[in-house]
Amino acid sequence: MQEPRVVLFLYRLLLRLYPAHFRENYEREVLLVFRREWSKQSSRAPALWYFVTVATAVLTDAPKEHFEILVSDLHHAFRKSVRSPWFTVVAIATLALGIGINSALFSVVKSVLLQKLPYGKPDQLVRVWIRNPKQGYEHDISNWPRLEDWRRARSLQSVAGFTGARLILTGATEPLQLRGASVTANFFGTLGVRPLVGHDFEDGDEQPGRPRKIILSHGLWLSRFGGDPTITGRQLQLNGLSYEVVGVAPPRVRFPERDLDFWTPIVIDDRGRRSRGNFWLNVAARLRDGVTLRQAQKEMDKYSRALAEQHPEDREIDGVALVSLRDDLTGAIRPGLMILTGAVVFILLICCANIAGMLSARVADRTHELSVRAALGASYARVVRQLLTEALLLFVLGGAVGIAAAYAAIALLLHLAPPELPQLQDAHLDLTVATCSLAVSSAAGMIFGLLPAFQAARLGLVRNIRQGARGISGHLDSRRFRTTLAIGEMALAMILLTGSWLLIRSFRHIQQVSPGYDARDVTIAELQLPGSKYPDAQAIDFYTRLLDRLSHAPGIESASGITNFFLGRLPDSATFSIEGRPDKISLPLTTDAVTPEFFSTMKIPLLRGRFFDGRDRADSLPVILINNATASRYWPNADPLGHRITFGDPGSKGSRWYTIVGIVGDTTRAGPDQPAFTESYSPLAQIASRRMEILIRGTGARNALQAAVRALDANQPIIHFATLDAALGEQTALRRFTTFLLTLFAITAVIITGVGLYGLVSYLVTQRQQEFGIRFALGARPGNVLGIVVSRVMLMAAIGLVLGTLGALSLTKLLSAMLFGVGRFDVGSYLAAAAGLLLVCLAAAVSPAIRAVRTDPLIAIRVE
Amino acid sequence: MSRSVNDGLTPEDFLPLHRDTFQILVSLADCDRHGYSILLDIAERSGDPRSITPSTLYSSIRRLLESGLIKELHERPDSEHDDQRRRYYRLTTLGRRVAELEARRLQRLLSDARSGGLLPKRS
Repeated sequence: MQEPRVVLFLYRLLLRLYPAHFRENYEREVLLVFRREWSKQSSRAPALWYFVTVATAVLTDAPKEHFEILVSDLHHAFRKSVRSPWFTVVAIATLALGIGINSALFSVVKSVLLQKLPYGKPDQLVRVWIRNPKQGYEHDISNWPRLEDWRRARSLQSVAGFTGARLILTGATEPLQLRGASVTANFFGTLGVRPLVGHDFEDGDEQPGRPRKIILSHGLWLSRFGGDPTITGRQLQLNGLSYEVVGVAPPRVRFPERDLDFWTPIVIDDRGRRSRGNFWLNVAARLRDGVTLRQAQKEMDKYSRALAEQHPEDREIDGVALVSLRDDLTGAIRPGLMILTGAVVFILLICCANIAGMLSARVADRTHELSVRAALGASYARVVRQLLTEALLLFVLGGAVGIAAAYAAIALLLHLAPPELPQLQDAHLDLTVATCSLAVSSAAGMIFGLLPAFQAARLGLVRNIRQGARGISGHLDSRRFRTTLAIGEMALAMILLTGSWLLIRSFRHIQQVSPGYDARDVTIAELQLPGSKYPDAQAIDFYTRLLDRLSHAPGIESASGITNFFLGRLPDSATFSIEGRPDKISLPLTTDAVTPEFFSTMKIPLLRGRFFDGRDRADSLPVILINNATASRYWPNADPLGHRITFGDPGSKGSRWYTIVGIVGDTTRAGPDQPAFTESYSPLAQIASRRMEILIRGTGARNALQAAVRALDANQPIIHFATLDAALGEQTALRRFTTFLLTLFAITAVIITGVGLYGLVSYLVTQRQQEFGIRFALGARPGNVLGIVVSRVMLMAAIGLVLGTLGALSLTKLLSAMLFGVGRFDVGSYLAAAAGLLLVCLAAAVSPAIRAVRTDPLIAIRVE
Repeated sequence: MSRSVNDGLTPEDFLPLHRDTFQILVSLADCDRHGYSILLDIAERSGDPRSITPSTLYSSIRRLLESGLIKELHERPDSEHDDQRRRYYRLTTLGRRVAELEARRLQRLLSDARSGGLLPKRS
């Protein structure tokens, strides 16, 4: 039977499934046999059946052919890798570093910045802040009357208020201090979260006199109550009062703080419901369906203007700012993470450049071998396939090691992470991210490394065999390509190094800032006395007796108390007036109650006047100490001693006037990178507080405090024990985290660049060894040859450094907000980075340069 | 680029042979043949004209060449009546040894089948 053309065409098409090598050798004969056999078929039906049989055979045999080649190539690639272990190790390590660091950081970025919050329709959730520029707060907290007003805003579906709360759990075991939040009854409803066990709060739970309720966090429920599913309805003794457990929150709900134990309804008396001048309530809201943040902001702006006309207090503020909840939660870490993300992208680029350079060199190196193989009958495609398999083996191994490295890196990141990272605890390796990093580096290696090399190889194969094996490695294009890559790497490394150096210098400046007090050997602990048990006078008495006991304990030099040692983002502060001056000062003055020994414990100097002492009792003249910043700001040319100030409205009947009795030194209680606040201190005896931070100078502070507290009240827990140095460390933790990581990344980048450069220089030396041999034979001195190698490296380094400096000059703008005591154009940092990189370049060139100098003149003859 | 896999392999290492491979070796046992001639011979002996397809035949030939059991001839035994485009193959010593061993193995299997009563005993 005559075969139709279409059958032959189809069969030929099927044969394309075979490897090129097979087709080149056998396709012609296979087709010949096929046509003979086809012609024997008597009619259409058997012919068709025959075609099905042969087609099926192709479909089953062709993959086997490919598989056999793969196995053989892998075998070959493996042997090759073992034979050049340095190449293999460096390539795998480079890939693993790039993939590992990128996967880890992008996974973290994804979980911190991009992962959905564990709330219903989280994109609708916003924080509602007051803009309060007069008091120096871009975002300030609010109060009840405003929350009620906002509940009438059309674009807000639901508005919830919350504030921090502390409760002491007593009962069967040791008393336990719990951290939590007092929230409006609609808090969980606004978040779109339903309790895992039990039910939500009910409307009206905020009214005074209602039974006390509590919702437990998942963590507390598991740790303290063993995940008891029948917990609802149980009564807990908190601060000496009875609270009914109504529910347990789902595991990932950690709002407003990361480590929360409970939520309880906020209870507000009539005064709190009316007072519009205070700042104490945090507010979150849910946008109505279909309303965008911008639309809502627009409405709130209009609404705020209307409210300001009704309420004089609202004229002091500048409306409200709606911030998406996610942005609000990640605000602190976002700039740092963005910088680190940029850094790891640079590392990936450097790794890609290195891999591309290495692979390109590999192909170039083996041109002669490939030429010989090609001459012995291996097809060009077969040669390419072999090289691709070798590269693939490297990528797979590099990827595997990289993913393992990423797991380790994430564990390290979690370990180093400061507490400001709210969702970092949920960070896990994202395999999509890991796969993407692997794909990018592999693709880069293939596209920029192998492809150009193959093209060069294709041109050079035949020529090379004639030329006696110098190969395309001497090919100008390949050399230029690798040089360009190395220069690019150096430029990127220079940018990273400059950035990290700027951050390191900032950090060092911060550490050198004099805090205004002596933190050494001081331990800080927090106590919160329950109001039910300790009215004001009793609380003062408790702390007086506690400190008295402590100061007599062995090893304790001094002990004292302050309401808040560290000033947070929004410290307790108030507007105030100076007697005899008509203007109310809106810039807030912090007010903290201290025990008389506070200044001696912390070694804060007295500049003028006197410290507090036994004279300052509850019933004596109200006195106050101010810091130097306050004195020089408000009494620039006068002595503030004896002047009186009051907080709030000076005209009101109940206003209390405080006489300034002393001026003390400034401190950096707000953080070493923050300017000194305007601060004031009152004696605890005159401004009672149940919550105090105890500062103890001396050894054995922890035991002494525990013993003293137990002796006074066995049911009183101590919260949060730490050395002051450690607590201070937390203040700069985020900065340290960013600085450390950027430095780590910069060092990684420099090392990879150094390795890449070493590879390139050794390569160039090998290339020119014959030339060097001739030079030596003609009488050149080692210095001449050394000069050739070093000048080449220095030229590359110079171009890289110039490009890197230009990049750094523009990119360090992103770092501006994190710099302290150092400008972004700080010449010293640029010079240090350049010097560091130059040193690495020289180190990378040393061994190849020595090899060049030691070239045997006879090599000129031997190579040929 | 030759991937010779017979480095250090003894003839026994090739056993048992795949059916197609054995057929090809048997076909080449008495004379040198080109690919199509092998296919025809196998078809005749097995009584099944489609027992081996062209692509499978050449896949097997490639494997046999690479493992050194057959070799390609540079001279053409029957050049007058022959298609110039065809290549001839011959059994190597190793190939012959392997084929013999396989034949013995099969013989043993057959005698086992006989002694088990699966086949009539030889007269």
